[in-house]
Amino acid sequence: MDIRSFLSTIVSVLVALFVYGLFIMYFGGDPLDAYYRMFRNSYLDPNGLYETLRLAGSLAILSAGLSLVFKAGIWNIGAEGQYIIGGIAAGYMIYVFNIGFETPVIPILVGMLVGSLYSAVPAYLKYKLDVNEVLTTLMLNYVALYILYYHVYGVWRDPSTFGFPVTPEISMGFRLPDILGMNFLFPLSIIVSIVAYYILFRSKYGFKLRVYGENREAAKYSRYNLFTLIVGSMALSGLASGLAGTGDFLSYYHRFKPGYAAGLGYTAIITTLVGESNPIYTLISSIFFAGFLYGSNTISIVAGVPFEGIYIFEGVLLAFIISRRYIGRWVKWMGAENS
Amino acid sequence: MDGGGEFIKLIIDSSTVLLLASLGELIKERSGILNLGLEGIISFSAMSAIAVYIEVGNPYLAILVAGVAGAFLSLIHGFISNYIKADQVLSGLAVLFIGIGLSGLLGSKYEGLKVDPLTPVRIVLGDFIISMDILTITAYILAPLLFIILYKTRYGLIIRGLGDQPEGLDYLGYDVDKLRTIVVVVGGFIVGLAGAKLTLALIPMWSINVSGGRGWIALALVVSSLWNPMLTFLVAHVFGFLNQFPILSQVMGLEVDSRLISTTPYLSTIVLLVIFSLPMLKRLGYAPRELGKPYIRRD
Amino acid sequence: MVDRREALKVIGIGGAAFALGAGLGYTLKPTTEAIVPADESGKPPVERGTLKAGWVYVGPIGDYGWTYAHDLGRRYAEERLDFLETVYVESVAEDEAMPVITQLVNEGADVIFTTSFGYMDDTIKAGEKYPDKIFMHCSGYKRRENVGTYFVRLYQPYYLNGLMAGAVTETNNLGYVAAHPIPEVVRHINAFHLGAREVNPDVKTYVIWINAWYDPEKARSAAQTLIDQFNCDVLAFTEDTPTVLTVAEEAGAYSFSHYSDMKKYGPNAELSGQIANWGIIYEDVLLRAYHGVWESKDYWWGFYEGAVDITPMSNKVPKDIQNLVNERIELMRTLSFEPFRGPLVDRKGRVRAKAGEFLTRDDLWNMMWFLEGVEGDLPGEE
Repeated sequence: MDIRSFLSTIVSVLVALFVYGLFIMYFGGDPLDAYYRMFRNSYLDPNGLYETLRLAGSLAILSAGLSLVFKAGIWNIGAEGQYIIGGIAAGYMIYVFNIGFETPVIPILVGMLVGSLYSAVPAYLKYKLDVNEVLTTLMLNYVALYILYYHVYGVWRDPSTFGFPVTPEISMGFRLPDILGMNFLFPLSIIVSIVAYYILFRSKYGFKLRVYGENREAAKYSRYNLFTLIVGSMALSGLASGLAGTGDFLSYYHRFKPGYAAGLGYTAIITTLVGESNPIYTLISSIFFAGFLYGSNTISIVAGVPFEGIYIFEGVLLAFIISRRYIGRWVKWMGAENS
Repeated sequence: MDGGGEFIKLIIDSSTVLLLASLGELIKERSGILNLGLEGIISFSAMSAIAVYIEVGNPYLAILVAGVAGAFLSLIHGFISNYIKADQVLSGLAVLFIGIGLSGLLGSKYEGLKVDPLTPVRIVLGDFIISMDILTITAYILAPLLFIILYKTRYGLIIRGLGDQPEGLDYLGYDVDKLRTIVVVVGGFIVGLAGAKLTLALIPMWSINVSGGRGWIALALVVSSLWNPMLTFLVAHVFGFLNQFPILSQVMGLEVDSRLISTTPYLSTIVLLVIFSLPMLKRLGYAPRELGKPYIRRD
Repeated sequence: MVDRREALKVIGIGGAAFALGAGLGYTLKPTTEAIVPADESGKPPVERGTLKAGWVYVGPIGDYGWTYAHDLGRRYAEERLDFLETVYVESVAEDEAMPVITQLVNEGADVIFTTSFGYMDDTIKAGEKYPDKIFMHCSGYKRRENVGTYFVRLYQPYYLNGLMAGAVTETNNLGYVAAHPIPEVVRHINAFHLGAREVNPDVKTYVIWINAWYDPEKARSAAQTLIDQFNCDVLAFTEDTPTVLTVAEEAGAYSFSHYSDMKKYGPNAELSGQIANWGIIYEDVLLRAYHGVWESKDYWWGFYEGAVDITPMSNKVPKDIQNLVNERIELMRTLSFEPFRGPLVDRKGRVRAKAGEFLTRDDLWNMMWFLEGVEGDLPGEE
């Protein structure tokens, strides 16, 4: 990340914080105090830090996967659906098929595989028939959501909960343990990010992906295998989403509820873009965003701002991040003015 | 009591929201601009409509403001897409977040407040009496009107050109970016009417969840109707009817899981996208060639 | 303290409930009294400063349903208890209670109320994490030393609404728009039908599920269908919008308020309604917490404790029925009457309670059967 895009990222974040701050004032709160308390609750409080890093873990894993496809110029909007379907597939290995002994390994592998397939189908349609992947992945998110409802409200509903829509808690043997006091997903996300970085920037495959992303014609001239690029990168991205979904299920929720997923797949699109589709940077932006997602509740508590306020922040930030080239020019122009 | 008439009215109301939203999105997409932020725009304009209605008490002003609210958010999207040339998918998502955020924050003081629904006009067609409000009538006129405009007028030729062959228009001296922005704003106004229909007629009460995924269904609808306003009219009523299916199936004693029925619009969209992408059927289908791509002049 | 569940069992064994009423009333003193333990020296209790309580809401406080009623309760408690400071967070997703609870604790909350079933696991986890804080989870069944549960016996007002509906209906067809087929909702439907049947043996209750707590369009569709297709003229509902009442108003039918007063949504259509006075429970919990005598338990409060009520009856309810309703309320206030009293036979012909017996708490919490005369599918019917 060169200095200019770094600066423009900072500017974008500041603008988003400023706009959100205006709304905090609109609701009668003090933005600086609210932000300070949010920061304190997200990063300085041990319980808060645990939750923040857990969220960061899921977001970073999702973003690492999205980085691969975004760099290749493929818009996978379906991380949300792949997360859900991965989780459900893992659920099948626990609730439906009895594998004889309790281990989180098999559900995770199955969840990753199914998440990956769920992503590979629209990729294959794009590769073979040039079907718009934005529309197909988006639609599949909703299909996944209703499949989740079908299981939670219907076939997997826990009979012992007086009919409330939750599935039974999974037994200890299936759960992922904490590591050094951190939720399993955070350390895992560091490894996943490094692996994704290696694939994207240190391997031949990653080089081809980036060429394909920057110049479709050049990729065609070089006779790259488009199947492995399009379907392969989408499958890898779905693999990561499936891992995040399964990981949240096995390490944190331990059961399904209607609110499982809660839009992380969409937020990950923003963290990926803020991190310029570089898995190391997306790890950092995920930690930042997780603190914000988690800590936005503090803003509700201390300033009475409704929960939807966070969307203003996300929306404004996203709008500025994608217009970053424009901001970059502006920053440069300001610099030229000063010198 | 009107008997079945009320139920038909409900299906019409439900379908009209989808119809207005997808007609607005349709002309945007015909000009090459894909806006994923539909859900946010509907939510924000629905909130604007009911807020104005509560504060001022004039339903027509409320409808107008809802349209302007939709146009405003679409302008943001149009500006980022056409002038900054940033990715439309992502700017659509930005508009989605901003729309939901704004309606949540500004709408919080109207939460749960109810208004009187728009007074319907009774239309007598022989023995058939049906009551429709002004927004339904607008939607029903708009669908054929857009069809005529798109296929029979010079403006339609330009709009279609923007989506299919912007370089041709550019060559003829048209300002593609400006024209696309105008179409996007007009489309946004129509989407805003869908928001008004939602909170002034279908569910005359404000709640942050009021849109309930209709924006996503409308996106699916545009694709499922092959970007043709008259087909949109038909498919909107099919989806509107499907929305009532979970209730009807209980009346008829059918054992169908309503959650699986709810996947129909999304699955049908994928299936149609695939069918009309097959080499042998490609000619029967249609999709704007430049959909989702910013126009950048090749020198 | 005698548990409510125990109390009900006692009534059940006793059979002739009203005979025991007085005695039980004596055993179960109204709970807001005698909270402060007698000090040996007889001095007034020491100044304890303020107590901060936090609420986690599943919906927006303006929803005029579930969350609105809880927020009324919060405001009631704040008004009554001058040592109390309150905060709340709205629209918290079912899976995301833990972050909110942690931050409420960090911002100084001593007592936390989580007001949706979906928060159960997170509330229990939070209880383990913060052993010196008090947690109260609404509608759940898991408790710990510092985690209690609470709910209201809304079936009692539903039963009274049923009495009115049975008397008012001209078509003898009642409609019921129901959220999800779960015991809580099934209990309300049966209670409603039980009341209606008592004053009008020919009555039928038609049920349509909308499979959502919040879906105004489906609620409207279901209410309209009940009126059009099933010729229902009185509608009750258990879902989180006032939609059914508005549809009834437009169609010239009748309906009820749910959880809070919704009269303005249907000024002519509203016959009465079910009210939950969560504030009564909140006041009790917070008083006990403040004075350090709170103990984890399950509050399942009804008319006896003042936690439920009906909204004022419309003049469309015949005078004799109004008198009957008021009589029943008085009996329930002294624990001398319970709606679910045998003989109760479900629609498959199975005896659920013999003559004179009462349904136990477990029966009520697991109820997945309909009474004879309730029409419509019940997924998971036993």
